[in-house]
Amino acid sequence: MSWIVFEKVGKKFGQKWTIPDLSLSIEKGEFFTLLGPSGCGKTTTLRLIAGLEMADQGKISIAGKDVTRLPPPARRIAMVFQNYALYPHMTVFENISYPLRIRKTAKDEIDKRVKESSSRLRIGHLLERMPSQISGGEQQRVAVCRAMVQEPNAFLFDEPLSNLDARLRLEARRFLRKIQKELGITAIYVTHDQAEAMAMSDRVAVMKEGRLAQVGSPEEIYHRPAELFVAGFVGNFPMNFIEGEALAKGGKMFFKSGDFEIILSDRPGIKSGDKITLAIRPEHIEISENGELKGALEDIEELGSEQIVSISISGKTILVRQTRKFSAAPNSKVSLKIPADSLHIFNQEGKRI
Amino acid sequence: MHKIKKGALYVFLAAVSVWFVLPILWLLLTPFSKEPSLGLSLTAPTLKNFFELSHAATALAAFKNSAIISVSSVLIVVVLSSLASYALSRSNFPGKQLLITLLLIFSSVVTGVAAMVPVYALCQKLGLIDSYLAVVLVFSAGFLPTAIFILKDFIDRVPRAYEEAALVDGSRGIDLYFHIVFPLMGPGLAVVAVLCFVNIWSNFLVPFVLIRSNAKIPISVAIYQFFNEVGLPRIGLISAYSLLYALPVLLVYLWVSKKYGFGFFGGLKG
Repeated sequence: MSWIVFEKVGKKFGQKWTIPDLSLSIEKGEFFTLLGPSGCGKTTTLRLIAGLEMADQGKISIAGKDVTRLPPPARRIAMVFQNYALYPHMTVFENISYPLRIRKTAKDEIDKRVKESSSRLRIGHLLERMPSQISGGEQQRVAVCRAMVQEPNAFLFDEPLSNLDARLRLEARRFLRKIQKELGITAIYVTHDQAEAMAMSDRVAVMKEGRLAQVGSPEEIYHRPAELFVAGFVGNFPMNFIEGEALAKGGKMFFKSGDFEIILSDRPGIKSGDKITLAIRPEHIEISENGELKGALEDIEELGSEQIVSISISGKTILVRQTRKFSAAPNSKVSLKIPADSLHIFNQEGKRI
Repeated sequence: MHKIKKGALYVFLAAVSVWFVLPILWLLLTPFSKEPSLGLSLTAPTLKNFFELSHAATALAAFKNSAIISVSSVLIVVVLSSLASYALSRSNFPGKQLLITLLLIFSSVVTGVAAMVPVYALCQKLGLIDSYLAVVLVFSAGFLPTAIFILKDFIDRVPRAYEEAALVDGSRGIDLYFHIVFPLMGPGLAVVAVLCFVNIWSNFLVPFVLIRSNAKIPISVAIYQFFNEVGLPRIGLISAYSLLYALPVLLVYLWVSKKYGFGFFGGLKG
């Protein structure tokens, strides 16, 4: 039995179904991320788990218990909000201990737990301060600490890192995951930042328009995107997309788009004449002297440790990302090698073939 | 030309400030004057007027009466308006906007002159004439609409995330209200409390109409009694009394401004 289960859950705002029909199971102790562009329903999904929104249909259960109709206080979950929502009129200590105080925990137990968690998060020296007197990074830790002391059924994170600057964010990312693994408490994390999702999660659910486009480990999502949308959303650099059609020639299947032609390894489900889209990650293309694809160099962008090379092949620009130093004059001939297993093929509906 | 313009401006501004400062100077100087008059006169300071005042029993009791009336009205207004405005801000029901508009329209009617006859008749029917309760009820009813209106606007701007965080933390119902919502309303409540206190403290008409016996009149009405046998005002007493009368209002302003700085909206950092 999974720890958190959605069965055919629907949620509508006004006349519009933000989430039409969502089924999902999250395992105990898992770091599970809901990833998607804004308006895809990921935050609504999180709020449905918290009980801040009530499902209009379907069933939600947490730890084997049906919570569909239970209000938030009865669900025993802890949530870290995007703006942290630290109570401004309470000290850091009062903020952290609030969930315990409201649940009538014994005073020495509260002191013990707050002390333990706050020293673990290195905010032990801030306990007497007001939230307005500490930095954004510290506020974020206090919010996490308030979640930690509760021993909840699950942690819910609603884009908790989006208000931090880039460097702090990288640090917070590692520390959140470390804490979550140490405590072994299920975490559901909402973000629109695919790098964050890839770096932190055991499993990622990519959402689009209120439905799950794909659920899987970061590796699966990266290496076998189930939809064109997922392929485009995940990855630090935009994928190369080429629209064209399949063409059988001499017993082999080719992809053809104008003069651009590439052999497809044997894949069932493709017929000659099918309209398909080819997707290739820039980091999977190699510039090689004996490559089968010929093109002309357009530009080289230097990014320090790596470079982005744009190459024009029969009027289409293909981006190549590589760490190897490469230099050549613009418009010089370049040939590319694309390993057959890094070709992603999608049909007209955007589904992987 | 430019200099003349500037000079004229200074003269004008000086006249305006004298216009405003004079009454305040009068209030500060006259109570300590040996020969108090309506003009400003500097004499050696004396506490004679205050001494005389301390023998006026009605005048002293009036302080207690004013305090009872103002504080209890303010308490009622603060508690009820915070509850009502929270409900109006966070819930949606048909006719809500109409209700708020009506509140605004009726806000100044109850304590206004036009309503005094019906208010008097009503209190008489209820047997409340010459009681604190009558005055307190009229004041509460009169200031509630304005208070609700101000507070609703204030709560509209307090992010819901605080309440949601508290819900998830396990708080609900009246706990949630008193632990989280009420404190968050603090600055708004302070504004409402000061506004009501100052207005009720200085209101003359309502207690004048509804209270009969000398033992129950507040300061605003008691001050009306400082005339000698032939009907001439006793300026010394009136000025000393006025100064004491003004003090609580000043103190309330100072206290609130120190505590909240009259900064209206706090909001979330980050």
